[in-house]
Formats: sequence, C-alpha cells, structure tokens
Amino acid sequence: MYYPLLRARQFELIALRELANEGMTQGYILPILEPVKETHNNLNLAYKVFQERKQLAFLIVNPSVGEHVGDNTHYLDYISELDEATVRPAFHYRNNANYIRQSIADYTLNNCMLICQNDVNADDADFKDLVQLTEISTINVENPGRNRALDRFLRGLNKKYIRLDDFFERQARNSDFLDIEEHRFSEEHLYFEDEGYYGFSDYTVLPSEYSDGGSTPRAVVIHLTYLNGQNQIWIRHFTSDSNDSIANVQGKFAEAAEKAVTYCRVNHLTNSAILELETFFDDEHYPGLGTVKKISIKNHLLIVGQYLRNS
Amino acid sequence: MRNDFASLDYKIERYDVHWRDSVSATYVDYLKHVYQILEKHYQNEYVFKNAFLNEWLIKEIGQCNSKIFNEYRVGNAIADLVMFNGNSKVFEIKTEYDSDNRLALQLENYRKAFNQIFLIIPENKLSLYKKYDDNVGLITFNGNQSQKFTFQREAVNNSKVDAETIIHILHSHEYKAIVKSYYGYVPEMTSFNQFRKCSELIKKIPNQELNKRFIEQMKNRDLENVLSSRYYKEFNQLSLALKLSKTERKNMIQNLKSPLKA
Repeated sequence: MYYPLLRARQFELIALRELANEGMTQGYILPILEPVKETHNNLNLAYKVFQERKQLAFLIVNPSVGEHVGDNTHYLDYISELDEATVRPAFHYRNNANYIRQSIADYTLNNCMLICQNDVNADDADFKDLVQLTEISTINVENPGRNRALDRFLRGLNKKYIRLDDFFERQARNSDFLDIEEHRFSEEHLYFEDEGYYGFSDYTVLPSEYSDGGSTPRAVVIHLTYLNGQNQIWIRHFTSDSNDSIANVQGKFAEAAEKAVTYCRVNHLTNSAILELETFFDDEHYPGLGTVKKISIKNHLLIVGQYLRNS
Repeated sequence: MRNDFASLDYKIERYDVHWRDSVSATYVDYLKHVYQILEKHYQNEYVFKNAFLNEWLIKEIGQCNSKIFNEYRVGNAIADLVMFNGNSKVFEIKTEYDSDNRLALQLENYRKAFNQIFLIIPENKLSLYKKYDDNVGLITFNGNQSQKFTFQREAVNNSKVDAETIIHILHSHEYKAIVKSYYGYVPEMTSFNQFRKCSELIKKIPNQELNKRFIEQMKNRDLENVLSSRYYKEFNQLSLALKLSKTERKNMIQNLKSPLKA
C-alpha cells in the first residue's frame, strides 16, 4: 500500500478526487491529508467523492503546518462528523502522548495512524504505552533505518508499519531544474514488502516543506515520474527556457509542456494525466499553475498505482 | 495579523521589560514608541519610506486619483515606490545605510518605463548623488527638522518609454486591454502565443500613446488606497507593503490595541 502524504489544498485534493473517480487508487493508494486551512470547503468536496467511490483516506488532526497548527480539537471536531469508513484519524507524534490518548478517548477514535517524524526515544515508556493502544493500528516512521532500537520495537507490535521518505529535492529557483538530468526518484515500491513494511509513504513529487502561495515564478517546471526498465521510478523535470522575467507564464508553460509532451510521445508514456497535458498543449491552452501541479501529482500516483496493481 | 504577539512579546522581554509594569500599555503604544526611537536614532528604510509617504506622497494622493505601488518590478530592478497620476514617477530611496552599487543599473531600468525618476537621499549625501545623473530629481531627508524632506532638484521629463520593458510589467489582461484600446480589436490568439502577438502590436504603438495607456492600466490596478495621514501614520508603509485592505488594516490596529501580555 502507498500512503502519499499531501497537504489538503485545492489542487492536491482535485488530483485525488479525479483519481478516485477514475477508480485508479482504491485498494492500493491511501492518502494521508494534512489540513492547512481553517475552513473545510475543499476537504468536504473530496470527502463526498471518497465516500461515493469508496476511497479511504487519513486526515491528520494535529497538523504541523498551515492555519491551525498544533494539538487542538479543530479537526477532531470535523472528523467526528465524517464517516469513519472513509476518513481515519492520523496524529503527528511530538511528545504529545497525553493529547493523543485524550483525543482517542474523547472522540472514541479507532484505526488511528501515528506519524513519527522526529527522533523518538525507543526507551520512552510513555510512547511505548501509547503505540500499544489497540486504537492505534498504523505507525508511520520517517527514516526508520536511523533508529534501530525503535525500529525493532515497532516491528514486534504486529501493527501496520510504514516508512516515510522525503524524496523530492527542491531547488532554490525553479530555473535550476533546467540543469538537472533525469534521475532515480524512488524504489520503495519494489522493496517495502521484502523489508517487512506494510506500506510506504512520501510527499509525492512535492517538497516536504510547506509554503503558502508564493509569488509568480520565473520558470515553469512540469515534474513527471515514470517506470524505467527495472521498474525503478525515475523523474524528469521539464523546465521552461526563457526564465529571465516573471512575464508570460503562459509562454513558459508552452515551452515546458512541449518538452514533456514530446518526451511522452517518443517514449509512449500515457495515462489520464499525460493525456490531459497533451490536450492543453495541442489546444495551446494554459490551464494555470495549480493544474500543472495537479497533473504532476496525478501522474505520479498513477505510476505507483499501476505498479502495485500489476505486481 | 493572526493576533499572534509572540515575536513582539519576545522583544519586549529582551529589551523593554519595564513596559510590562504598565497597566494600560498596548501593543500599539509599544510599536509607536519603537518607531519614535528609530526615527531619532536609526533611520532605516522603513522609517524613511514611511516618512516620505506621510509627508510627501499622501498630499498628492489626496488631490488626484493617483496610484502608489511599493516594491515595483521594472526590468531587472525593483523600485522602492512608484506613483502614477498624469505621468509616471519612480522614487528610489538610498538611506545612510545603503550603498550606491546598484544605482546605475536601477536608473537604467527605471528610465525605460518611467517619465520621472527621483532619488530620496540623506541631506549629507547630496553632493555625492548630485553628480550622478542630471536628469534625476533629488529630494533630501533630514529627520531632525520639522520639514523632513526638501525638494532639491526637479526631474527632467522623459517621454521615451521602452515597449519591451512595459510589456514585461503588464499582466496579460492589461496588455490585451492596451492592444484593444489602440487598435480597436484583439487578434486571434491562444494563451501560448498571446504574449508574442500582443508584444508585436504594442511595439508599433507610438510612444506617447503607449505611455498614456500604460499609466491608465496601472491606475486601474485593483489596489485600495488605505493610507491615512492622521491616524496610525507609523503603519502606512506596512499597509502598503502587505497590500492591506481598509478592513484588514482596521482589524490589525484593533488587534494591536490589546494590552501587553503581563
């Protein structure tokens, strides 16, 4: 199972909605959503589709980024209104065992996920007590290899154990992607089962750091992943060339899209995300940068989903 | 903005812990106090810009329908303040603490899009900047006088603007509007080639006409004028930089009026 960790923003959620509607993710991909907005409009839209199409998702109830960070009840109140067969709760663990225990009790939560991004001390009795709760069914640990004691302890628990990696290397400027050749992106999908993990988790083709909005970029990049001959996932960064000013983002999209579309056609890469990109390119239509991001996410999830389904 | 005073609390704790003893002091009081100290002892760009807004530009805005932008991108440079009314003006601020390293490049860029360029400089640097460029207007600043700014030299009017530079400043709906207003139509185009097609047409518009239409478009940019010459003058530059709406500015000041954390 693949657990992409995505911020619950408009275009990330549209990508997930479209994939659920296409029936491409159910049973193989289970997104973990970190809410970043105070209001739930975009989440509500996605929830409706998830419920209809039987797509399961986790919602982080104590986000680390966005408008409502920290250990509070804002998103707990929200999730308690939702169908628990569709959305399950996830917690960031940051020495907050009491908060998590209290929330599980107050909201009678079940099937919770614990996300451990900071180093957790394997001797921490409070943490050990917490993870053994039956209400916690899934444990997601960033870089588990660097904390062997914790790793061995968690493996002994008979819970769903997931590893979290951060693959996407952000560049200082988008135009820096011009100099980056295609490169290996991830191979967790090949090895996670052999290595005793129930699933694997990452931030897809987005950086793990959160930034809200941002100014007009000087370069447009379309990040596309694909399987190479050995089933490794590789990535190419199709980048615009005329990056000397912030004007004409449409023309920059045209440049990046031309490279991406040409590459996909020559190499016979196709899926619904690539088809959408080809249509924009052929119609000479600029869809906006949100849609460009959506296409990158969709393509990546389709690549991973396709591999998991066929293996 | 979010009613989060942690960073202010931290500074009060570190530098001005005695403020805590006051029962009536609010964050607004504290910020005004800090502003006064800056004004007296450390005239950084914020103080400089804010004073210039309050004592100079605000009078002009009141009179006609002018528009002011902060940190305005022109070619390879970013102008401190620009103003559009009958013509286009750019103001470059060089404080005591700025060097003139980038000035030549900045002026070169500003000349391509603006009719008048003004330098705002400390009084004691006047002779240094005087010889820079005869066409540039000069305004000096002396924080210790009641009349802080003095007009030293008028800017020579430049009516020759560079179409290429202007196109790069314009948003897509703005360059389309200029094409429409001059030619009466917009050619058939897609989002991929609209920039190129409109650029070609705009480059053929006579200079005077283009300058007029450019100013017109800038004055149409949706930006509320929230500056106030009477109340909370210390926050004018901040309001402009954060592009606050009237309501946002009001809310911010309302929040800042809460008493200091004990």
